[in-house]
Amino acid sequence: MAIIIFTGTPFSGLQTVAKQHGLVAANQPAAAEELSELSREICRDQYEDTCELAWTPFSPPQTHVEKAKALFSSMQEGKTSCWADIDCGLFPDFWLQTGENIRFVFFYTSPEYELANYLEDHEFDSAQIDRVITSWVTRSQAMLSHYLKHRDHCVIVNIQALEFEKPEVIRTIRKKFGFAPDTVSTLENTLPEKPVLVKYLTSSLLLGHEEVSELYDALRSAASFMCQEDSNFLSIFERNQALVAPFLKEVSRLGKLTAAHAEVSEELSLKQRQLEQLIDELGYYYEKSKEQHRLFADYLAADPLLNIAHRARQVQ
Amino acid sequence: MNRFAELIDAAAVRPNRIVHLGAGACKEYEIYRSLQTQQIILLEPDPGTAQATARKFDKSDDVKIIAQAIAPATGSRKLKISNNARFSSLLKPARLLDFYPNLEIEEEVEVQAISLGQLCKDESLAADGDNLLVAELQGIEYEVFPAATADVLQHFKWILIRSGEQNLYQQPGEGTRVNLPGVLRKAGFTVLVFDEEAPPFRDILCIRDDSVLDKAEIEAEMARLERCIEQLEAGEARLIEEKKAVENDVSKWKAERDQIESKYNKQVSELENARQAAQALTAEKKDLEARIQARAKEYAEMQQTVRINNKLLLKSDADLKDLQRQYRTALEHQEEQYSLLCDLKDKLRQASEFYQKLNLQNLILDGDVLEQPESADTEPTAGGDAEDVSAE
Repeated sequence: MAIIIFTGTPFSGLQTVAKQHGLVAANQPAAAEELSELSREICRDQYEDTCELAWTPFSPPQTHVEKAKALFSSMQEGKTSCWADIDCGLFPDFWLQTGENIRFVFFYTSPEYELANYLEDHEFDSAQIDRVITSWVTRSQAMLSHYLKHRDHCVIVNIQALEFEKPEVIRTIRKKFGFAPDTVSTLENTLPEKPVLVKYLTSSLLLGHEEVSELYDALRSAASFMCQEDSNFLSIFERNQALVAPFLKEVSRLGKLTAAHAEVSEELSLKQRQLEQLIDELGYYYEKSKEQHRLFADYLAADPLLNIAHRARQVQ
Repeated sequence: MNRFAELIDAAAVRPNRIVHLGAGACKEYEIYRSLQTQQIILLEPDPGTAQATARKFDKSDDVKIIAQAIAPATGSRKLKISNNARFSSLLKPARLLDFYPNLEIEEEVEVQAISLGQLCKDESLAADGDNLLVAELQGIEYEVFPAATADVLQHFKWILIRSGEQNLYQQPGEGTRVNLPGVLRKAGFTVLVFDEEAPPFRDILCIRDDSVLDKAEIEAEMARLERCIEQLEAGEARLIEEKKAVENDVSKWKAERDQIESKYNKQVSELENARQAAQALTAEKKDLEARIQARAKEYAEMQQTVRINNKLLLKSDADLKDLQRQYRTALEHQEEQYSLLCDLKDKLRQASEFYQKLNLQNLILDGDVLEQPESADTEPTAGGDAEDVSAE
């Protein structure tokens, strides 16, 4: 039985991608769930109440090995079982001990992408952003180190490549391991492209983080499969500079939109005023018409001929 | 990632000047600055990177950037600029591609290279100064360090080299194996090799061995040491004598000490006995005090009782006197009553006699009345006066 473990950085979107692309063990969800629970338990034992972003690689006690072995053996025989978990990347050596055919797929992301994913769901907090960057460095470094030590057992893939070049990614995995995930959905593009503003913001946040840039370059250099934008090795400063023009373009587009919006708002308020004027006029004419009706009714009531006709009709 | 920060900290490096070969963007700058060094010289062969680094440090007076490569000899060399600038080198990558398969040489540019000796001269580094050399030379270290003389290397007290296996890059002299730590040991350095977290690189820490001197100095030092040894031997004999004397003294002192100790033990036991006796006496004293207190209490109670008894006696005496007085009074009353009774008896007897006499007179008179009834009603008799008297 072959087991492929997918892991990545905390905001890589690993779980979503793995689920939507059918990489997780759809046929053994309970075992995968239990493995994730075990992974979580090991981390909790190690770090107790420490924030997840502060976790660093560690060696868990051997007492958990047997349990992990039992869980892996409970997975369906003869199939390639897959399991995706973020935290298991902190102690990959532990999982290697649990079976002979354990293989790793390390999904890396660009630091900008990691930050963009984080900012999508969280308020802007510079201290927390520093923690996210540190966590990205720690976990990416752990994955890279493990890959460099056990290159036969691992592949490093940009998670975005799975979005755009999935068949090639699967082919690469199969070529390296001799097996690959059994069921892969044909769903494409579950991870939407990040807006230029977000890209520029995240790259600006990373300016001056040389160690981040160096690590990202090392990941890309070592990757078994890069995505298109990885192939251009630019420093964070260069990437940021490259985004200045699109950013300004976007800003100007937004400026135009704002101006257009202001114009439309002004027109709308003008129309609103006209409408109000029209309502006033209508009200005036309605009142006038009511008055005329009343006067006409009075006139009719006072006409002697009509009174005679009315009485005659009553007599009849 | 290299372990420079950890090693600099561990080796307690405090350099006057730092020279970083292949510095890139010098992400170690903060570490260097914390060492409070006078100057940081950064060598970066890639013109683009050197320019960016110069831009980064244009406001740092303590940083000097030299856009040159380091090589065994001064001259021009071809720099292979890789897509990952950290791996750009004067050599082509070989086994490095097993680890980093996506590395590609994007272009080759002609750069000016400088030898380590020339660099030391140009920068006026002190010959045996406390300088730090950091080298990230991407394979060229296997040429640079063997080519540098010991004198040149001795310009640096600490040398940190990030180096991989020799075959990571295509070396010009294929088959010539260079033992880099050996080269540095020969140049008078203590060499320590540390593996990085993951292959293919390792960090070599070299610390200049300042105790290494030239031969003449060593011979002079040897002669001095021999003289010292002779002196030490003479001193040793004297010390042996002194030691014997001291041993005698010690044995004597030991005997004295034993005596004192036994005396002391005896005194201690006596003191112990005395202490026990004192304890017993104290207990007895306490007992007696308790008894005295009990007695005093009893005495006080008795005094109280006596006082009460006296009071009772006085009261009884007074009561007795009162009773006696009452008795006398009662006796007097009794006697008085008795005399009264006697008087009464006499009077009663007289009355009785008078009555009997009257009865007799009545009987006599009854007979007279029958004869003279009117006189009896109008004239009082002498007997009537007597009856009033007896009634009184």
